[in-house]
Parts: sequence; C-alpha cells; structure tokens
Amino acid sequence: MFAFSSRAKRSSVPAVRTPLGELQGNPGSVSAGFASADPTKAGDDFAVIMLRPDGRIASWNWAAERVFGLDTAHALGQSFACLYPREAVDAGLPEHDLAAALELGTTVVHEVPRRRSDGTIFRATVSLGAVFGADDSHLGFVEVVQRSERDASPAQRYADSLAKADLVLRSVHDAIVVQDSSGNVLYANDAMATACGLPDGAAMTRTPLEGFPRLLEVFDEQGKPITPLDITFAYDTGAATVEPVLFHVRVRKTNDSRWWLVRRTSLRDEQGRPQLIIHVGSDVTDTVRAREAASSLADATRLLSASLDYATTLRTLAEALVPRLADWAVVILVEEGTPRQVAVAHPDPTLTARARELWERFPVTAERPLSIANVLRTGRARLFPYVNEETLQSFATNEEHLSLLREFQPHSAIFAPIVVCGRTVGVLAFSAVSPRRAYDDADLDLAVELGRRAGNAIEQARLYRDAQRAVHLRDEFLSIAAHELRTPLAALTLQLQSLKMTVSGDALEHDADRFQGRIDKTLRQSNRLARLVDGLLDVSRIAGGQLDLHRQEVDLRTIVSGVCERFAEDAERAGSELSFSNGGPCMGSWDADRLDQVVSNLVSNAIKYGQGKPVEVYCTADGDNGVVTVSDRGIGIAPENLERIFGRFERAVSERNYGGLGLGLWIAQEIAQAHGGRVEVTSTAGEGAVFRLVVPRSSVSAERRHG
Amino acid sequence: MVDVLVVDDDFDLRDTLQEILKDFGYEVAVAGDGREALAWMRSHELPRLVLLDWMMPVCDGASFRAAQLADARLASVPVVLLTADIRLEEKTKALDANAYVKKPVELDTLIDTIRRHSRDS
Repeated sequence: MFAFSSRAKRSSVPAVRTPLGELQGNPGSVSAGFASADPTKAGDDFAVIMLRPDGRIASWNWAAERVFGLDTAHALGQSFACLYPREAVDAGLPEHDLAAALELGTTVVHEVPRRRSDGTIFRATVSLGAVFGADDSHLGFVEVVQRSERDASPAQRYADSLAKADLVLRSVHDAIVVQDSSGNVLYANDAMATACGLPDGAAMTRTPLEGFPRLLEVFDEQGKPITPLDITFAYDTGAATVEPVLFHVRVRKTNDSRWWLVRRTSLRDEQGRPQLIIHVGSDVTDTVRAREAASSLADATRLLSASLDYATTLRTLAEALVPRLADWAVVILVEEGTPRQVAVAHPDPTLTARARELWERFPVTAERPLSIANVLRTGRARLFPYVNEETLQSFATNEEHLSLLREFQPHSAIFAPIVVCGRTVGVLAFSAVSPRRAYDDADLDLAVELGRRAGNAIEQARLYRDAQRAVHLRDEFLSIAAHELRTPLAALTLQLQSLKMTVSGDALEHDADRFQGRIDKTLRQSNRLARLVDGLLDVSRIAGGQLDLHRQEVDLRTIVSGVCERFAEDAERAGSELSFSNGGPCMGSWDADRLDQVVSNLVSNAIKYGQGKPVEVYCTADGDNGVVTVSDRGIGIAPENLERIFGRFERAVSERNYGGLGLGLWIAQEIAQAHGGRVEVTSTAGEGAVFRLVVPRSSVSAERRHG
Repeated sequence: MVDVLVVDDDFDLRDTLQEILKDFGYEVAVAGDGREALAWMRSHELPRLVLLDWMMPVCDGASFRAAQLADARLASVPVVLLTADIRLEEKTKALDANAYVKKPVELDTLIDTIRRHSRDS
C-alpha cells in the first residue's frame, strides 16, 4: 500500500500489491522519505517513477529503464507523458491522470497501454499517487508501473475476454461491470458507464472505486445512502449468485435518477475467495415508478373517498404523498374567490409547521406566486424537473418569500390543477428536496390524475354539503312555516273565542260595530292563513311543473294600482308612504291573478323591509315589455345575498325576525319566468332595494324570446 | 297604571291581544319589538306584566329579556313568553321567563296566566 500523506484520506484505497516497503514513509517526514527512497533498489517487475508536481520525471529505478527502454539520463526532466501512447497524449490522458491522483490521492488502473521509447506498446497496471509534505504542500507524484502480459491474473484474463466481447456487450441494454476481489473495475460496458455518468466503459475502468461517490449517489430500496463498495461487498452472502437487489442511483452531473435491479455473480477460487465479481443491472425505473404511482393513486383514492369533509381529506392526502412521492406536498384551494392553502405536509413536523407559517405569512393570491397563479388560470399542470433560481422566483410572492424558500431547497417540483367539473379550483403542488428525485413526465401524469381525483372528492363533498344544506333549509323552513301559520291562527282563535263570549253575552255587551270589527279581523286572519297555504301549494305546483297561466288582455296599470290600494293600510301601519305612478296604458296578454301575486309580493317586501321609509311603485310599457318597479329605502340587501334571495326557502335576513315563509320571491320569479319575463333586483345594503318585474306583453314575443 | 305590555311584531296579533285584554278589563300598552318595549318601560310607570313574543326583528325576546334583567328598575317585571316554538320549556328557562303561553293561544289559559303572574300593584 502506498501510504504517502494523501489529501483524500480513506481506508479502502485499493492498490496493487507492491514490495515497496521502504517507501512506506512516515507522513511527518515525507520529503525525507521521498529523497531517501532509492527507487533503483526496487524489485525487477516494478517500474517506480518519481514525478515533479508538473509531471516531469524526477527519478526512477532501473526496472523503469528496462520497462520503458530508456536510460535514466534521457528520462530525467522529461514529461512522464512520453511514457503514454501518442493517442493517449493527444486525448490529454497524462494531465487527466495527474489531476485525478491529486484529487483522489491514489489511482490504480489496469490494463492500460504504455509506450516504450522504441514505440512499442505494452499493457500495464499503473498506480499513481500524489505525495504531500508535512505542511500539506504538494511534493510530486509516485507512479508504479507493472507490465501485465506475463502475469495476468485469471480475473484479468476474464476481464480481457470480456473486453474482447465488448462490441457485443456494448449493445446490451443491461449494465455490466466486472470487478476484481478488491473492487477495482476491470471491465464495464457502455450502459454501465452511462448509468454512472461516464462517457464509456473504458473511462469507467480508469476511474478508481473511491472516485465513484463523486459521480453518483446510491440509495437502497428504503432510501438509505450506500457506497459503491457496499454494492460490491455488503450484499455478499457467500453464494455464487445472490438475490437481485434494488438500488436507486442519481448521477450527480445530470441529476438523472434511476432505479436499478442488480444481480451479482462471483467467481471464486478453490478456497472460496471471490476472484471476480460481476454485476448485471437492469434499469427498472419505469416499473418502480409505475408501481409507486399505482400505489399512490390507490392510497389517494381510498383517502379521498374516506371522508366527505374535503379539507380534512386533502390534508390526509398531502400527508400520504410524503415521503413516497414528495418531500413537500401543498394543497391550495380557491374558496370564495380566494386561493387558500388548505394543507402542507413534510415528513418532519417542525418543518411542516415552519412551512405552514411561511404560507400564512405569504398567502397565495390570484397573481402570486406566478407558478401557482398560472396553473389556476390555465388549468394546465407544470413540471419543473430541476428547480433553478429562475424557477424558484416563480414560486415566491416576493423577495423576502424567495429568500425563505431557498431554505427549503426545492430540487424538483410539480404543480397540478385540481379540477371540478372542468373548472380549476385549486393546485396540488409537490416538490422533492432530496436529489434522489427529479420529476419527469410520468410523475406529471400521476400528479394530474391525483388532481383530478382530488377534484372529484371535493365535488362529492360539495354535493353532500349542498344536500345537507338543503335538508337544513327544509327543517328551518318547516319551523318558520309553523311559526308563520300559528301567528294568524293565534289571532284567529283569540278573536273567535272572544266572539263566542260576546255572543253568549255573559261577559260583554252586544255592540253591532264592534261585532262587525271583530268579524272583519277574523276574516283577515283566515285570509292570511289562506295566502300562506296558497304559497305552499304554489311551491308544490311549480316544483311539479303545473303552473298554468290563464292569459287575457289586461292593463298592467290596473293590476298594480289594485295592489297598491290593497297595501295602503299595511304601508300606513308601517309608517311608509306608498306612492304609485305610471307611464300610461300598458296592455298585455298576462295571467292577471298571477301578476297581482308577484306585485303584491314585491310591495309587501318593500313595506316589510322598508324601515318606515317611502315606497315607490311605477308601472310602464317599455317596448315589448311591461315593467313594474318597486323601490324602497330600507335595510337593502348585501351583495352576497342578491342571488340567494330568489332561492326557495331563502331569505336574506338570516334570523327569522321578519315574518313570511321565504317563498315569495321564489314564487314571484317562477311566475315571471312562466310569462317569459323575470324579476331583477339592484340594492345597496342599508340604502334600500329596487325590484323590477319585466314581462313580455304578448305571449308570442315571450315565446320568441324563450323558445 | 298599565296591566299588560304586549310586545309582538305581528300587527294583527298585537291588535287582537290588545282588544281582547281590554275586554277583560286590563289596561294594555303595545310595542312592535323589544327595543320599543324597553323604551316604553323606561319612560312609563312599570306595567304589571309583559307579554313577550319570542321572534321579532330589531330586538327579539332574548335580547329584550337580557336588557330588562340588566336594568335594576325593570328587572322585577314578570314576563310571560308568547311563542309558536315547540321547545317552550327550554326557551322559558333560557330566558328566565316566569311562564309561557303557546300559539295559537287559548283565551282561558292566557287570561289565567296573566292573572297568576301579574305583579301586585
């Protein structure tokens, strides 16, 4: 073993066995050792060459003279490149080898060509080591060259035969590597070299085993990092052929990340010691990914259908995606027009909390971060195989956010839309921090499918919520209906009971006027009850599609003024001044009773919600339409309730403080629509509301419009 | 002195109650909601009893009762709850009301309840 102080300190430096005991200097006195080690004393077979830091030959032993056919006087001061074949010099190999030795400490290569001064080429095992002084200064190199024709080991001969078969092996898709018992690469085909990020198999044989960690990272099936030496020896159970082992390999230079199923065979000597280790690796990346994808999808589907509370479900989904598919999973949903982060997951809970904090500090908006905003706008998924500075910027809402995001080191990322009924309602974002993963198109497809399934789950949850809301509305409606029916019923019962007493004459005197008044009030209550019952019947009639119109030529003015007269007393009682004006005759083919019902509803609402302020009713013909406008200056309607008030059982004022079944506007709208028209509303909360009934004057124009 | 203050947002019921209670010889005042009722009580000699509707706009039965109990002068006036709601007992308790009358109202029950709960003048 060479034991010169070496910058790359490692215990498993493979080296040719050398008899250079005297060169095993004490690292503290390397320069002394370097000077005193007389290479001429070394054995026959080994050419030992001392090189200056620039690669010029400083001294060598007589074996070197013999091996290279060059006398020492000529050799000293020449570049050691003169010992390489011309092609190798042209390819820059001497410089490459020096640089590798300087970086790695010692390199050993087998079966490399070397050139004698007469131009003949021979093959040799070459060990090249950098030598450093006590002060860590670079003193030079020592190279040991051993001709290999005569004493090629059985392993080397096998490797040579493989090398001869290289043309065939080169075209094999599987990666093949042959190592000696120390792990040195004797042969590798191009597929193997590519898998390790090297240009070709020859380049791989020139790379010492300890150089591989710089080229690639290897993880076992559980994601535990392992070294190339582990691959060579750790799985050695003594059997000639061991079970195939799955490795995850990332090539540092290209960031390419693949799964390999490696089968290992060893040739052993009579004592059972391995002579030759052959690894054959199949690229199973697609299979592994497909298996991961399938199991992720299955899990996601199970999770998504587990609960109808989609916020919880999406959180569970995000948690299930890490760490198998991602190091980070984030779900963003647009709720009431605002994107909101509903789930963040990372295997480390402290980091999850930090990320959640980050999302809260820098909430997603419709414009930022750009990458999320784009997915929300276009509904198209985005794949970022490698996150660079520019991409990272598109993940951040501002500079501060960007600098904090860097801490989380996203390495690869996917943003997939969450789609409900063709509408993008959110983004499923996941990102890999570990360089093990670089997302590709297959991951993108998986993310899109997950987004689609998340969308379905949300849709189902929404349907369920709507159904629940409908049930709740119905229950609330029944409770209101009971109250609404009982109030006039209470007045009616009281009046009747009091009338009974009056008639029996026991308690009270007879008085014709008061008697008349009581009966009027009694009738009024029974009318109120009848109207409530009519409302209920209308609902079931409309819901059953049985709202029949009895059209006849009428003047809308007559209908509206009749309603206003009828409500004069109610308005007065409420302290509202009810005024009616019109823009002239307004004839049309309408169901007079039904339009009366609509206008009555609008006017009674204006009085009910009018806060005792004036209510104005205006009726006019506007081209093909008859138009009635009812304006009040009361409590008005908040913008978010404008749509809702036309719903069945709905009312804008949530508490049941205002009387009524909450059916009026819905029925009014249905009647208007049956006439081919509509009821419209404009309002500012706190400043009153304007309701407009627009109905086509002839059924023909109504049909033309709606047919 | 007013015997009964009727607090109900429904004009017809309020009107009927006023008329009938008068027939029975009660002095009656009316209010359309809780706020009106509180204002009336603060500016008049206290009634012997309040007949209170549960559901009203502006200031409902619960708000009225809370405000009444918070006002030392008004707190002692007995309150009879008038409601269509089926969970009467609960509400009466929640409101700390003295009694309740269910809508639709039985005249005998109403008069009897008022008689039993009215404050002595």
